[in-house]
Amino acid sequence: MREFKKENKVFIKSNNSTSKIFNRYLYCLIPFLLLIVFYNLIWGSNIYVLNLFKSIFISLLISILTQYIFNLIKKEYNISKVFLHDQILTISIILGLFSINSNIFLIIISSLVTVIIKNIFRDINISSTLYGMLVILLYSYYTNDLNTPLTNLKELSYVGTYELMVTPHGGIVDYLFGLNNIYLSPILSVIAFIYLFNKKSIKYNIVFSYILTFFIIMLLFGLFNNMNIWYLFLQLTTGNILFLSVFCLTDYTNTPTTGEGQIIYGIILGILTSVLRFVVPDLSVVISLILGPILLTKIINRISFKLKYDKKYYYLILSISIILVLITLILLNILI
Amino acid sequence: MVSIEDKKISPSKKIIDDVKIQIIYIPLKSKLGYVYKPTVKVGDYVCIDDTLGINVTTDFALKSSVSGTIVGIEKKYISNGHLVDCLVIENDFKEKYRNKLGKKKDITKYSKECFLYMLQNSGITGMGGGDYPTFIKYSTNNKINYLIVNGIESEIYSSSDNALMYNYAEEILECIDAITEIMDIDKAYIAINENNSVIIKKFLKHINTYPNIKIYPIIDAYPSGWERYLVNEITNLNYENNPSEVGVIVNNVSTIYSIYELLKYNRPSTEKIVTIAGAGVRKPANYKVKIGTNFSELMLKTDGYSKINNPVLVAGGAMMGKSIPTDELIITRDLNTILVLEETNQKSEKCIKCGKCSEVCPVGLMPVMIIDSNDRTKKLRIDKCIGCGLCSYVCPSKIEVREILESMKEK
Repeated sequence: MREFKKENKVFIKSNNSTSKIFNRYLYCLIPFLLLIVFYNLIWGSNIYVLNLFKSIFISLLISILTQYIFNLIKKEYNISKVFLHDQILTISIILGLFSINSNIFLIIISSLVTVIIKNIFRDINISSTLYGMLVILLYSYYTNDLNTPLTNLKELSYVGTYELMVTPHGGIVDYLFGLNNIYLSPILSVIAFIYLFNKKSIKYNIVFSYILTFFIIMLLFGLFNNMNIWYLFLQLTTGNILFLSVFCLTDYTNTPTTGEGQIIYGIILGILTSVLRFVVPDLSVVISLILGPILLTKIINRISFKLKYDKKYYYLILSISIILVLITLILLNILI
Repeated sequence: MVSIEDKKISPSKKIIDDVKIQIIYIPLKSKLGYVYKPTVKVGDYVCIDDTLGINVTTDFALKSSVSGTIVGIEKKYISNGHLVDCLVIENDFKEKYRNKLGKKKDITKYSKECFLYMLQNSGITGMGGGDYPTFIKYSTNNKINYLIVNGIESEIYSSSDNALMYNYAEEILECIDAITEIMDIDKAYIAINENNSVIIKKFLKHINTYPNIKIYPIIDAYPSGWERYLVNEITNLNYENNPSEVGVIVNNVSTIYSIYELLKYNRPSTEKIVTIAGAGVRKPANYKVKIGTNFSELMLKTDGYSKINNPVLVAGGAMMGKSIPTDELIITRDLNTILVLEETNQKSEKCIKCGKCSEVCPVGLMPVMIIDSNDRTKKLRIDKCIGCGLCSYVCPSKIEVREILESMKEK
């Protein structure tokens, strides 16, 4: 008779792991950095590149130190954990990308806010950067430091000509590739999404439904206001909507777990962003993505259970979504 | 459904069937909990097919797979990981029958009543892992429209059914035809993995003579052999408790082969093909052994174990199998695979709520929500869990989700 270890479990496991998933997010950020560096070194300004490295370095330093202090409080003394499990690199790069031209003090504050929020609310991971971004954007609003096509919209009653809204910041191609040094490249965001989708590392239903909802509302709004197709492109390529939807909207820990729930979540946030876009243009995505998990995730998780087992709820949700989109459109056209 | 890497033994590889086992153990309690009251005592001589015990509630017989003398009752492990009392028979290798009948030429010439009686009296149970008495499945008042023969082996190492189908395709077809004739079943389907072209070809070679039997290729993913999935995929029907409610009977291919032997030779099969594989086995292969073989004796008489760190013995597949603490494991009708694997200690991390467990669950459960909400488990249908283990397999945090669900289910 030979004895064996008794272990009740599944004896084979998939190759996927949390660190692999998180690392994929990190890999996706590298092309953004490379694009900014090479474009600015060749055609742009070297100072912009220096500022990029400065902001990433500072946010990395502050984030690592703050996270390590939190780890020490939790009696976790291994510093490698900060890099491997706490996604500090990903968080710092995102923050760095958003604070390129900000002053050092602002970068430090935003990094501190991000890491503190991440550790206080343990269900928040990459999307904790949204809080850091909020600090940067609010400060920019306060100091009138923000000069982007969407803030111009504020003075232009949200509709205007191509020459007034697009031309001052380059052409549509500049917007698509993020070459105007205002927003991060939407094209690279799409490529990052495809890569993460292919590696099954993203809650893709959320991105699909979010972008589709926003797209439909903006398309219809543009049509009602006799705007051309460039208007739709402008809305989709400004405000970092694609970048944030790929990297922050899909944060694993605080978004719905089922496919059905993720679709509902995306639709509601799409509507919310569309409305906020005409109130706080550049903050619209950030605020929507902060509000989403706070208000929706738990409720949607509960609803999606019903959806799984009763198909009549699908029609109900679909009807509610269509009605909400129409109400949004009517509201926007009345208000603007 | 999830595609899992294939580590199956090729069905064309020779089945090892020359291992002679001296001591045979017949468990007096089945995997599903059917208890058999012994009808023999220590010292009795028994022949093949002699009744060793009776389950009083179902009047279902327990049969001997060898001829020899009863030498005692011992506790041994069975496929569900439980230690149960087993009748110990010392095999005399004479293969004696009390009433040996000749080979029946036309196995379709049985009445329905006679067929059901034979099934009940023969001790045939589901050999695909279910261990459910087969006669109960057929004793239904509903009209049976479809017979689905499950030839799917979605577990990563299991290949015993493939080997059986490869070597006995003609016999299986003959038996399916007989069952459809006897039970007046309209149509029969043999479900086979679509990538299993060698076996599909084997069946196609003979199938033309059986117009009522169709081959139904099924996606090669796990758990495509799940009964409920097969019924829905093939007939588009859904049922509450068992498939006969909607006029369907599902039998594993090895159960069909056992019925074939019953109809042809008036006795159920006394042997069983079992896959023995894993890094800890020196000669992974499909072995044809007597039902009641002790795995430890089988390993002593074959090439035995190879050296690995932290070996784990698993009765059943790598996904759904049970870990057994010693190799005193009895090969029963329902046991198709025995694995000796190297235990990999993957540390589990905090759940990141990725929802992959919900995404892959074939029943549509939401394990992550069930684990989070202790008080609402019933509402979240925890009782529907089939224990396929996909949730644990896909979990990137390496959490043993199935084990957590099972412990919650028990509560």
